[in-house]
Amino acid sequence: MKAKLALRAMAASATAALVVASLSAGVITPAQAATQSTVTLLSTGDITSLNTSTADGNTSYNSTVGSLTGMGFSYYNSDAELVMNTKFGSMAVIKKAKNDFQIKYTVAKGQQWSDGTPINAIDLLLTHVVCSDKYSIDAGLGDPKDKKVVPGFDSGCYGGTYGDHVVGMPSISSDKMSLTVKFDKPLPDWELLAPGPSPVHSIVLMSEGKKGLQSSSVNQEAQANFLRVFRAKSTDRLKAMGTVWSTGYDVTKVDSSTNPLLLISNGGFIVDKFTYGSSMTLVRNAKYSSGPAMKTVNPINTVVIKIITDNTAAVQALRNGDIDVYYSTLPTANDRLTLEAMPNVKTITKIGAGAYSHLDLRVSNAAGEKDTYTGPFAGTSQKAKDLRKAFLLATPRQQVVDTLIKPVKSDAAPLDTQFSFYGTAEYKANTAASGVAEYSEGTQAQRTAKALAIVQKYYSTASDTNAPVKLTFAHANTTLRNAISKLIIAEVKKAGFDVTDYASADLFGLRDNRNSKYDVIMYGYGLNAISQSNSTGNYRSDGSNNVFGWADDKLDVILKSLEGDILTAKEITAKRLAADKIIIDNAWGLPLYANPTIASFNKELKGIDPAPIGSVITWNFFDWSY
Amino acid sequence: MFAYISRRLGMMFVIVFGASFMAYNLQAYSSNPLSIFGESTELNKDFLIAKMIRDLQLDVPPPLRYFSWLRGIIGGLWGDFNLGLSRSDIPVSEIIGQAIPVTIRLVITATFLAIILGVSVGMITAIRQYSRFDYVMTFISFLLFSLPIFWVAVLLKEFMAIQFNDFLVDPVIHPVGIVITALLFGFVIAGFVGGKKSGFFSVFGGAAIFAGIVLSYLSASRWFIEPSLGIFGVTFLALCNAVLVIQLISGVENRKGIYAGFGTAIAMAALYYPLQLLMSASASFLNVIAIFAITIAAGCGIGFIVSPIDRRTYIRIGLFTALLSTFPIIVDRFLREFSEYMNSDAVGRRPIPTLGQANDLLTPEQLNNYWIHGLDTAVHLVLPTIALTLISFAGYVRFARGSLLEVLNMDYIRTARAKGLTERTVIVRHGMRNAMLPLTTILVNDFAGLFGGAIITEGVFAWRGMGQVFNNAIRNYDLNLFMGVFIISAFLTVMANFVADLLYGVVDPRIRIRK
Repeated sequence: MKAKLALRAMAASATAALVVASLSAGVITPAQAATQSTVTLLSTGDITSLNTSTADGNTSYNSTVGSLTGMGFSYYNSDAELVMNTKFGSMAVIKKAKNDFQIKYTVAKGQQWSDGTPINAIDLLLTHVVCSDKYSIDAGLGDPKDKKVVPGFDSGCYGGTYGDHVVGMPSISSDKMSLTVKFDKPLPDWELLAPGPSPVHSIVLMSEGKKGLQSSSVNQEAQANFLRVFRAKSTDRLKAMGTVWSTGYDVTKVDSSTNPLLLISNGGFIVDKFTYGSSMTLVRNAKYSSGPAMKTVNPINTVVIKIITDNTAAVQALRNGDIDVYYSTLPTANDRLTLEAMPNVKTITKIGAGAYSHLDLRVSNAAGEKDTYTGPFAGTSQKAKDLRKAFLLATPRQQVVDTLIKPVKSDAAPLDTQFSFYGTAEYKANTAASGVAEYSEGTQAQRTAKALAIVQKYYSTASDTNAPVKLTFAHANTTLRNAISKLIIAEVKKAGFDVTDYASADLFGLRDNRNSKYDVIMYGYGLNAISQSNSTGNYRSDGSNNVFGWADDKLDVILKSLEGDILTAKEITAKRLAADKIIIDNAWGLPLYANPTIASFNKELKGIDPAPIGSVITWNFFDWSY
Repeated sequence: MFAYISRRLGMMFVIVFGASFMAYNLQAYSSNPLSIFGESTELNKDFLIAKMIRDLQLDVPPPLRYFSWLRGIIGGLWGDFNLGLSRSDIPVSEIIGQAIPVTIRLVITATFLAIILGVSVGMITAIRQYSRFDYVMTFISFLLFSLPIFWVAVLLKEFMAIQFNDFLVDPVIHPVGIVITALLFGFVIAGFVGGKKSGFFSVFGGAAIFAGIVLSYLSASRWFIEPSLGIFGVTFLALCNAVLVIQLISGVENRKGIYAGFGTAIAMAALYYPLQLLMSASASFLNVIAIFAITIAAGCGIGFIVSPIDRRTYIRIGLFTALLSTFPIIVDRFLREFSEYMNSDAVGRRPIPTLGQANDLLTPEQLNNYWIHGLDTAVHLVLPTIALTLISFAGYVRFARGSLLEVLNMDYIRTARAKGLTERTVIVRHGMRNAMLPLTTILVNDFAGLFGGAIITEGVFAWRGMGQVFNNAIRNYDLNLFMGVFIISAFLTVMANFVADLLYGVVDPRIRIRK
């Protein structure tokens, strides 16, 4: 009897234990179970190439992969500062004469590519091949600017600062660890010109038809071979490499049958699997030492990038744990509410330094324009200038920000300069002095009344019910732009402007066709580097984005100096202030707001810190852990 | 016949040529690839613009550029077929080659389900015209017809993925939930089943109690995290199948038919354990085929034994019962893998994904396991398939209903009734068969349409099929890619029309192709 009871008690306690065990098993949250070493990122567009230096491969989606698989001399951090990556190497100006400007790039010792080949300065040489127009012509690879024939290396780097100013061939030190490049004049933003490393040995090997990883001696021989070919400018050998470089990296699939030479990396991760249009899986690079050390406690061993083009789908995927990080540069108030209500994620909103929206007013003909611009804003007369100013005064910038931007980022304010980044010390100093304050003084009703008074000087019949000045306002046909234009049109009407709304499906076609179909245009600018010369091309009288006929000799001098002289931070601030003053004085246009961004990520994931520019989410992969 | 076919083929060629010329020019004129430089502040913008003009031949007017594209197509005649390069320098044929299988995988189950469910429901509503069931189905199909798929997708993801995965943490259904679901289920079933008012309440009560018991059992046994049908579930479903097949083929009044059907169902139950041997972790698709072969052989054998008279009828009963009842056996095998799949590292206890084609984190071992790999495909397919089925189901219901109603009003149906055939024979043999004729046309066209993809569904579920390739081609001004998808869809559509016309002549003796 007793034995039976004992058995029963044992059975009961065993059952209880089982129940407890099964219950506790049920409580494990997704992040604790095993997916713990994986981060799944979102890509809102296609990954099309493993080479981000070709013109076609240079997209932000490919760059995300590039930032995980490659480390160079610098990267942007979350404060939009350019951080020097001393683990990879260093750079210094070694000569700074009027016509002889030399920079020395030194690669830190002891680094390896993921196949074990040592990284040295030879790996920096490819930049010269793909950025110098002269090299391409001299080596018989073709003129990159040719209208018919594609050059040997189908690069998107030609025709830029490097190609325009580099002199001769870069020289390599005897220990092969440093590279010296000579330019024909001092270059501002020279830090941004730093060559990125490429595994040249793998390109040499692939151009010889090799299909797998080679022994270390073969690799080093190939690396040395590249230097010889580079110096000798051997057309045939370079052309073969150019084919590999230009098209070999454009893949639609990566799996075990992919040539591993294509995947060699010096970043934290190596591409492991890829299905075009669907997803990419990257695994940790065991030989990584080209950047800050990765976390050792609960580290990230796998990164998956899922391609999701639909925003709602991405938000729901985050909620379900299908992705760990969501990021948007065009967030809506609704997105923010949804994301902040999710129990499993943390949400950060930021003002992005990378993009801002602005109004541009036509002044005269753009170069090459077929018809003549004769709208109310045309010319440099006092009348045209006053009307432009009146229009800008009546533009309800605060209302636009309050209605459309604040629901996403509650402390947003109108952007006040075209040159400095929102919120920096320079921004605060310059906007206080540039005269832009006039456009935020008092209430909007007061500013509109002031604008109406100006308009009445030229159109005596103008009143808040009669709008004699006829204008056309062009902008892209999107929900946000249409909402903004509605606010602006309603307000400027009270100042005497009768505005026709022109929501264009092809705004840039309209702008770049150089015609007179509009008087005011609204769009955004995106920046991919923070530089001394950024946005000068928008305001120079011959700038490629200046199709509004803006021209001012004094401004041209200032902008030329920002583009061409090495200046101290103080000088840059002063020049930008002077430039801003001229633009505001001429009433050519006003910035509206800096675009907000939103990032939401799995609560358990540590270290996500989005940068406003550069590789937004992935720049600090080394800080990630669970 | 030869002249007819060659004339049709010639016309097809002209249509495809003309359509592609128009599409090419419309797309080329309506888009401006250079607009991506609008927001750019790149220092070498001028070079990049010149380069794009060179690479995309933007300096050649579109009507002329069309012919350089056409050359690649015509090159197919001498084995030099070339759809050109996409904007990202990847051959268009490679992108499309990857997209077609994805699209087919996504759409084919949903299309079959929608056809089978839609046509059968449509025909039942026609037979029971103006009954409660007819009204309910008419209401439901119009409701589904008017739902936008992206919204359906959002709801499905919220309730069937996110909430369901949350529910799996502790898979106990609240008693109130059980009662409400049971009542709802009873109401729906009672709505489906026709009959008088008293019948309505007894069906309603029966169905509600049945659902209540099943749900309580599922909840108490934590079925949702360790699901299986088990031998009882398989047997129950086999018996249901047997009833259905008997009803359709011989009618319940035929005793031999009942023997054949129920005999097969019992044989299925008996085969349940032996068949498990064929479904080990190392099984492959061949094993599944072998299982079907065995069960079908058993079904046919039973049909053969039942009666020497009218053998074909009973063999058919056995065959269809076995065929339908094999699915539960296989589904049961997949379900029993669910708990391991769900608890694996790759899945992390949230088994139903809101999007994607496959789990990227499955280990090679899991990928080699037919059941786990299949389950992974299935959980990724479940939401888009439901969404697509719901949306296209309605069209088939309305079409099949109208078609059968028209046939049932024909003189030959009256003749069939007059000569004393049973109502079952009249409807199944004379009604349904003839009602299927006009359906051929839309079925063939729908299958051709499969290759065009489902733009919105693929987008919201992040599947890169033909629809999304097409969508991206338009958004990125990728003319070659656009034309690649277009030419395939155009060709298949024209081809499908042609095949439908030929088939029509074959299935309907009244229509003979003119000489």
